[in-house]
Amino acid sequence: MAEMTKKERVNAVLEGKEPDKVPVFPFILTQGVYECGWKLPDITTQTDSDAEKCAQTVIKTLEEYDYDLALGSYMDCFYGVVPLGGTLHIPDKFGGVVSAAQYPVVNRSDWTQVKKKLPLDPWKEPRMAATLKATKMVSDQIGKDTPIAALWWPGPTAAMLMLRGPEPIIMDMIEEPDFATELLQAGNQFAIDYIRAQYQAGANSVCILGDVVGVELIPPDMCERFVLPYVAEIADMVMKEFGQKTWLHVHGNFTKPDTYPLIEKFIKEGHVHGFYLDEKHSAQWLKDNIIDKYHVPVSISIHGPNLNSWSLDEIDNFVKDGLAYAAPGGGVMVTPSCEIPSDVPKENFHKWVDSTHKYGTYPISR
Amino acid sequence: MFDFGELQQAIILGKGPLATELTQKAINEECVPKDILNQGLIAGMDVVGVKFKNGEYYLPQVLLAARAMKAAVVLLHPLIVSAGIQPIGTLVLGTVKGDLHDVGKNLVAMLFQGAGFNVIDLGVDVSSEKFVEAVRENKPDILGMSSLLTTSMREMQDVIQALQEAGLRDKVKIMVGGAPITQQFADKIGADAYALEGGTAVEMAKAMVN
Ligand code: B1M
Repeated sequence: MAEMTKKERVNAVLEGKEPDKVPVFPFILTQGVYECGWKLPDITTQTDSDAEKCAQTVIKTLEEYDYDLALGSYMDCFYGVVPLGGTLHIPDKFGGVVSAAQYPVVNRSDWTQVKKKLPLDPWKEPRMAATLKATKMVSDQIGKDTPIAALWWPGPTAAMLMLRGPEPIIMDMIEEPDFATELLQAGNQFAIDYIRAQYQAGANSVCILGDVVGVELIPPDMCERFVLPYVAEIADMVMKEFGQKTWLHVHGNFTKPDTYPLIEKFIKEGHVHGFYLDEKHSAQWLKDNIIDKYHVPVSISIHGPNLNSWSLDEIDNFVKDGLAYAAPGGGVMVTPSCEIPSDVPKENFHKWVDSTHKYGTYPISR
Repeated sequence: MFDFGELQQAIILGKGPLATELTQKAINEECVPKDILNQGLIAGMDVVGVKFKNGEYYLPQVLLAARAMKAAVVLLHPLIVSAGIQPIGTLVLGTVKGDLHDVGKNLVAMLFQGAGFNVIDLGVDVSSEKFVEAVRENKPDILGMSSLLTTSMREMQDVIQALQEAGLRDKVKIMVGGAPITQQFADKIGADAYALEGGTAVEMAKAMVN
């Protein structure tokens, strides 16, 4: 098969077809900062980020690892926290990641004041605006042939990260579902605005929606109520306004009898076009239960800690065996679960990408 | 005669108001506080731990049960104190430095409280110095450390080292847990116990304090 551009390669997978070789989406967030030899305070503060450096994390890691699907910028998970009255923890130690030190909505009564500050304009909020400027720079530099994904979290995860933290949000869902719904809707609107802005800035490919609530933190019936509709709303916007597909990176074990039916619901009612499940789902399970059953593409996830600690041979075998089973027929990408670890050894990262391109070159037969 | 099974069920189902109502009823009927605690509340939480371990319960059900128990214990507290009922052990617990994941740690804390332990929760991002200080001050039976990140799990070793240097290592049992932790890792760093999940952690801890 003739060599495809990275865009053609990823597009083939999104359509459930065979590309020339299986693409890699390494979900690089903080790892890119360390790859450039910086610490977090070099690139971001409580109130601003360095757009140039945010872009550089993408360009540098693409040059180093030659992976296929990129994000437009360095991002962390906590945009919105500071403008809404919270604070961030920005560690200066190698390997650390940004997180919320203080959430804006500590007590339910705080919401009345916090909601007055919404909606936030991603182009005006300096930490987010820097990532949009970076996406524009990255797009100008490599966007012709390289697919650039948009990324954010749907309602429950967005609200958890930006407003309130996990346990309070979950208790809200149980005790005050209407209140929870209001927060989740605000989180989703924030996600929609930011994702839209990323496409306007130069994202040109699939939208990756990351949900850490899934069935990791709540049971399937709650997931159906508190995750599914928000995913659908974003997927619809992305398709309608930008003609792009949505891949759901949702956490939790979907192989169980009570959770597996959600996969079908996410396809039919959530309008997702592909799944990026966590490491609990083997290549075999994904092939048999998603690709073959629903004709929907998937990614095979290597567990972040394994990518760190496995030998090069173990990584090679994991990739080889997984692709031999799942890749024939197409519709397969590879990903780490969750993001690439920020302290991943360089040679392990290389091995994972190179083995994917080696064993993932079509034609592949079982 | 008071039906402890009913109180257990209220805890298992996370029915806070019912649990407090039944606890009050048990007090009014002059049940022995220790029985209310052990046969009603703790027995209910034991079932919750098992259901969580089996994947039958998710986090919200445990949160609700723990809240129900907490509310009932408030009523019972004065009687527990005057009856001189001691906790079955003390656990100092925290998520190690660099790690802010606390859902699992909080859940472990709830299950320990539910099992009758006194739990001193140091929170997240806890430094070795803080762990050492808490052990010196509270003299717990068990020091529990949680870590969900490969980047932070190595901190556990630093804590054990710091306890050694402070001459406190042999005064406390050390239990570790969290998604990336394995028995092999626990053995390597010299921890006394590793638990895959909260229910098992409690069972192991009970055996340790016995
Ligand atoms: C003392 O003895 C004991 C005994 C047993 C003990 C114990 C102690 N401690 C725990 N246990 C055990 O008992 C508990 C109950 O049975 C269990 O606790 P768990 O905590 O495992 O289980 C909980 C009940 C439910 N599980 C959870 O709460 C964790 C779920 C997942 C999805 C998760 C969540 C929710 C979050 N995260 Co994070 N997160 C993931 C998780 C995926 C996973 N599969 O674990 C994990 C842990 N996260 C990860 C990452 C990478 C990150 N996270 C981060 C942030 C977050 C959120 C804020 C979004 C949120 C945490 C909110 C919070 N306040 O805790 C970041 C780190 C922040 C920081 N500095 O800590 C960030 C770096 C992402 C980022 N770029 O910001 C991954 C770590 C990978 C690695 N290389 O180590 C991860 C495994 C996801 C993945 N599949 O890759 C047992 O482990």
